[in-house]
Amino acid sequence: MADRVVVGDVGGGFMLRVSKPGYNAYSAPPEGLTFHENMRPLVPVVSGYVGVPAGSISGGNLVSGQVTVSLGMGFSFPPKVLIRNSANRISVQATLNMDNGQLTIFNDTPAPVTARYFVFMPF
Amino acid sequence: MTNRLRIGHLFGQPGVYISQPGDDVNNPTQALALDTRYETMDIHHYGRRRYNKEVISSINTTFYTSFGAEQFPALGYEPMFMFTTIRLASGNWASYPLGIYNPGPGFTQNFEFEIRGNAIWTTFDMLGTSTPDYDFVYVIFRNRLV
Repeated sequence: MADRVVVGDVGGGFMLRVSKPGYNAYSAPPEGLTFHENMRPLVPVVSGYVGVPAGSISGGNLVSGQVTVSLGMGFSFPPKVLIRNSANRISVQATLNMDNGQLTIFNDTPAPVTARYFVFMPF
Repeated sequence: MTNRLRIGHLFGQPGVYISQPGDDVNNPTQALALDTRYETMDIHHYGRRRYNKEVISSINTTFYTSFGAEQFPALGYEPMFMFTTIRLASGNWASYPLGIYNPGPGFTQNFEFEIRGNAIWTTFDMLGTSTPDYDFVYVIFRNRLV
């Protein structure tokens, strides 16, 4: 039976690994592990909920409802942003001013929505 | 005191499990903070590169290409990736979720992103010839695509 979980000092180095079924945690390549001590996961640094007003039609043109939230930090490298509305649809989109961390969320539907956003840093 | 950490057999599989504060890891009522039954997205490489803009005024289209120009340490298999773009016309703006959002001069007609070995091939084109410059931003994971 394969060793699936390793915790502790292994050959002088700390190891905390869990392997996928069929892989030995001591020797599996990274893609054979569900977790390992050198992992660099995507970690959300900011998340929240915000109400976004309904979009409207004015003079035959769509006018997006929009709201701006402050993420509390600027960004030198673009973060990854996951954004969904309360119906779990991607009917909202956003732009981020990386200099001041202002995230503006747009709603093109004719009803107000609650948006949830996660901001992930890749490092 | 609530048990929050379990190393060993749980939920039918060996692993490491951590519950949220106040939640019993042996009988959780909320999503676990760490659940090694599932893969965690594991970052391998990330980067940022300027697109080369090519305006074709006769067909009112602007092309942006970066064929094979961006490379990363090879993994030996096709990895998962994420990408977005930054619109540079009016400052340091990033757009979500589609990667390209250009409410002013035009809209995106086509977008392709492909990994071949350890090189990234990208292209997209946009209607209009007064479109801004873009930076292309990507994250490549150790997780397999297939």
